[in-house]
Amino acid sequence: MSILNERQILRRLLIERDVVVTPIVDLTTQLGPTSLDVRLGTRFQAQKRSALPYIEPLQDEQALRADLAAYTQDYVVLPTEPYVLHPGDFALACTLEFIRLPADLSARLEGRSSWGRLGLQIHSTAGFIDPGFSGVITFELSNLGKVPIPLYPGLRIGQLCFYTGEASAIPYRTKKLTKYAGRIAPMGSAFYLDPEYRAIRHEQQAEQDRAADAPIN
Amino acid sequence: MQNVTSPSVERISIGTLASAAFVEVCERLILTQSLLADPHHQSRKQGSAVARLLSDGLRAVAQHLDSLRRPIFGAEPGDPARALAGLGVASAGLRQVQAHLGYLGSRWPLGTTDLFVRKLVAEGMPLPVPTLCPVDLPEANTGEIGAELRERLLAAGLWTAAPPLEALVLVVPTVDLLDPLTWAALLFPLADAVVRRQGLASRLRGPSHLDEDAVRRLCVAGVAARIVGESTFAARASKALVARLGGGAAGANLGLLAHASARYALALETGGRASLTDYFQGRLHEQRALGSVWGRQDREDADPEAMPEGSVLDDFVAAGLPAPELPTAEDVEHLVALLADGRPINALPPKLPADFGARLDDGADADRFYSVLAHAGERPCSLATILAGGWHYKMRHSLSLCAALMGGERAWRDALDPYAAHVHERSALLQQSIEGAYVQQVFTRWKDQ
Repeated sequence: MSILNERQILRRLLIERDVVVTPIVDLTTQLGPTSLDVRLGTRFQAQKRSALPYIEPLQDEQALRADLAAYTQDYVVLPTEPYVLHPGDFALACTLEFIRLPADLSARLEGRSSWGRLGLQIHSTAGFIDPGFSGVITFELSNLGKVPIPLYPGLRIGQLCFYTGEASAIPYRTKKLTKYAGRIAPMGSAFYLDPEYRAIRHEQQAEQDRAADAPIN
Repeated sequence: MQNVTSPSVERISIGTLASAAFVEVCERLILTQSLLADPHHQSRKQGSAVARLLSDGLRAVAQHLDSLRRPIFGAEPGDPARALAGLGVASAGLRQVQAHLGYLGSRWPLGTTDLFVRKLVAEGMPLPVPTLCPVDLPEANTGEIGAELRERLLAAGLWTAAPPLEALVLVVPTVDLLDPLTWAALLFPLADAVVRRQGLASRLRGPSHLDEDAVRRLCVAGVAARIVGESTFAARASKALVARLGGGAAGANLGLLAHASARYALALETGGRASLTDYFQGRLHEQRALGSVWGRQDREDADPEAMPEGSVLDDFVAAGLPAPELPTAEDVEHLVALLADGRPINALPPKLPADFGARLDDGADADRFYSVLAHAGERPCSLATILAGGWHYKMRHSLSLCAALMGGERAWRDALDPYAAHVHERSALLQQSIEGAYVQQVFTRWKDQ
């Protein structure tokens, strides 16, 4: 696996056109030796406080989505207006760019040092982008600093590094059980769709059935 | 006078309109379902109870639509006039459900709709940024709230001052917030504001038998077409199809709407190539041909001789508005292909020199590499371009997909769900396109100065 340099990135973007990153506002500022800067989009999903004690992943999906919505608020921000991320806040956002990768290319999302020095973290765990990904990339924004950070759409807050490898047989768009494929807006966690919860729910039901059938002493 | 009626209009039948109307009613059903399924109001007791109530109402509309699939899309279609009447019942039912959306107690965010109107102003529309207010009723694109309120107060016998020029408040139907293609219909009230504020109608000479209101309506249509091209007629026509079927007020003016509905059912042309005068002369001839389809002729609009003379309309529009950035036929093909491939249409690709690859390989040092980049920038799309791409995509792909899904033997949900996925993807791609193009435009404009 090797990392693409600036000319290889450009070749894949503009000549072979099997990598899609659009819009590219200014290649001169966005292209680095082995990276391409990505910008903040216009959509944010903030977390807010709720009276709910916690989110129970084993309840039915409609009720669970309603519970999750009680914790979140969606915003679309104008290019001339900031979304202010306060110290300790967490919000989802997404890249301005729509991104599509071929089956032989993966990417890594990294922060940029100017923002890191302010305490802005752009992803907490999910910085890897699978071959075959298509959509916008979700930022998991956290302000780890002590001062509020105004975030305007179009700011370059992240960068992508591209890695070549053998073509995957199950690129992200064709993989089974993808939860975020093709998304073009920040989407809250769909952790409850993991099949493990179905197994736990099934086992809970079985326990209840066994208890109901047990002979009463 | 040259008759410029397009050949396609001769082929318009009531059956064509029935299939187009089915698609429109079906899409609004899908969008209303999405509003009801929004988990944000599901999280409140009031919202979830009302949502259940309204969902029952939608189910009745869906059952009625289901019964119309075979007469409209089946191998042996039924009487199209009866099918249209049936669609009228579905549309009226849908309007009733939509009229109760406010009971959910939700505050609908404007989302990308607000960016849409701001980008219009940023592209050069001579108006203050309008404030949009979501309202329940689907045919609510009637005009400025301030002017309307003033007229009503005056009619009630109360004197009130004219609304201040900087206060431009318009309503947008809640269900339209989810479909960027309908936002082109906002151009009519916006163009109306341009015409009113600049007194353009009174500056335009027309034949003596054309009243001031008719001249104003022509001006409004001309201004709207100047800003975003024919998409504005397509959007207005798609709304009129549903509103007229369901007895809504917006169907009252059949003039341009009848023409646009029929054209929409077939194909769009990209406006702005010919002069606006020629354009409207052609449209008015077509309206005559369409009179039989709708069962009536329409007032003075249907008379091509009623048009203002010469190039007055062109001169007036061109003097007051910047030249629109309309897509070429080649651009439209490219944009439709992108949408069909599940990609947004925020920008047009760079026009690379033939030796770009060689120059890239040769750019081993920084100076030569950066000189290569000068040719590699994407061009952000105007709203007119995005809307034209979206409407062409809808007419080439959405209509045929809906007919294919609804015309078969599938159960209702098996037909509706894949079409709903298509409508949501189309809407999301167009919203992403508008957002991306707007931000790129802001940075590109600064860089070019």
